[in-house]
Amino acid sequence: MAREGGLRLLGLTVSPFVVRVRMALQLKGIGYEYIEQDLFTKGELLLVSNRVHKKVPVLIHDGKPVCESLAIVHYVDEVWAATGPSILPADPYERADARFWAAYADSKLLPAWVGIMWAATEEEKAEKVGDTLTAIGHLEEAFGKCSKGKPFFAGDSVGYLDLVLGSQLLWFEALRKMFGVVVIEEGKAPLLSAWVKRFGQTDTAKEVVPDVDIAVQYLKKLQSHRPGSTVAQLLS
Amino acid sequence: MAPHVLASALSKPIGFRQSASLDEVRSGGLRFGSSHLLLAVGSSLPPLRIRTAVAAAETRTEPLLAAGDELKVLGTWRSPFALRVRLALNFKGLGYEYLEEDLDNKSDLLLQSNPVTKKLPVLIHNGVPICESLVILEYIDEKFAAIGPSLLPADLYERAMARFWATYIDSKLVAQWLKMFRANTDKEKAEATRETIEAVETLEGLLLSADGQSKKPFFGGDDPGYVDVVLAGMIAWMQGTKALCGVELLDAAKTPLLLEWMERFAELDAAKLIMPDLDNLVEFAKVKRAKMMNQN
Repeated sequence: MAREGGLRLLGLTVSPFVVRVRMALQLKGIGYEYIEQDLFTKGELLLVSNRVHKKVPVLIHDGKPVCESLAIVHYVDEVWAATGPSILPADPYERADARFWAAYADSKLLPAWVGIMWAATEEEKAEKVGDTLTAIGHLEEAFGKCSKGKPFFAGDSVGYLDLVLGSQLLWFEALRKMFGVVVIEEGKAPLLSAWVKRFGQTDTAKEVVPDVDIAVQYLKKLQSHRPGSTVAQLLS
Repeated sequence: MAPHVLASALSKPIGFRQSASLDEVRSGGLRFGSSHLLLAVGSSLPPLRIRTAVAAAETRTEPLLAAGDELKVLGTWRSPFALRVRLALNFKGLGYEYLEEDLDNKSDLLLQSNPVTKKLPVLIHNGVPICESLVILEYIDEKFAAIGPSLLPADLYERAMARFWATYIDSKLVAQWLKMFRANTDKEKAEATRETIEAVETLEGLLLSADGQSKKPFFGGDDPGYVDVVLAGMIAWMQGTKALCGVELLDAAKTPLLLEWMERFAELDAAKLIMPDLDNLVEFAKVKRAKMMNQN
């Protein structure tokens, strides 16, 4: 892996927002210095690099910080356009489609499953599970349309939407272990279910995604610290 | 009325001009108008003659971009998100048909075009729908890269910054503004107000150059760009905040640059005819909020 001088990533190993950036860098074969952050006691570098939000991930390229996971993924794809595979497709309509579903995965699916973890009542939990499954239903349909019979959302190999949704899978495993909730069930979402297995087999996933127990431990730590939490506080 | 075409060639890079004839019809609180936007291109390219029409609802104009190319925008006159799309198309000099939606009675076209979220705006290009305002803006910029100015900057780091600020505007300014507007308790309102004001002050700071010594006319620099278009959708809503929420979001002491920017932006040909009327917007929002509260 080519070591790129002056490339650092401030992150949290279990954060889906960080995982997708690491996946993008892995896909491109770009080396970088990874610096794990303590989000309970934020370090100077993080505070200075992301003054506005003080959140991870932050990619620091030749001293200049890039923030917001999707902006970072686009940046990596554009700066290293000549290196490795493209993360976003070439066609403007396909790019728009990938971006639409990525935005959907982040704004509809993610807050729903995070809501399961923080639900105060059984009723609220059931509601969040419902929202999660509805979102998965739409993504199942999207997979059919985007993949056109190929193994990944992006086609023959992983791309933007695979990374955005793939970065959340770790937590689906954690939800199963801790709450008995199955987010992607083979009977209800067969295409996605098969995709999950395939995605897990890729180098991208194997090299970047931490073990589910690390996510479980982190959630337990969060639960003991902050009763009730927004996505922002949880994972970035 | 038949649009007529004027052409002009300039040696300076991209600028916008308006033709002499301009019709305004005031109807039911909405302003309709048609304008002929000229696209002036830098001297390295031949001058382009482009016809655009800002369409009144239900009136089919002649929006064809090129033979066989058809653009439609589904929106409402007050939607900050739909406004972004129309601004982007106007900036690029692209003709389109604008269809005003009734959100209490969504059209079949909208429901078919955006079955997932059923929301506006939707851009329909040759029958193919694209949804989510920021996604649409990037689509317009990429699909029509050869036409008109670019929305996103060329420099890759600046592009990342532009995308960052667009996300900021949606997740901080817009989201908090809505919370402030809809707040049921004093506590909720106070918190959302604080966040909204903080977002406005942060955006004010963006209009200063990096060294803090000079002012930028637009978020995009000398010319308007992506961030300008994204924020412009909220101009009328920000101006209406005093009347709607009793909150002074903008003032000459704290947000002088934003106030200048708003004036400057609203004068642009691409913006002039489609910015919603402030009084109508405030009245609409008050009525809508009252309805929502009655329903609760």
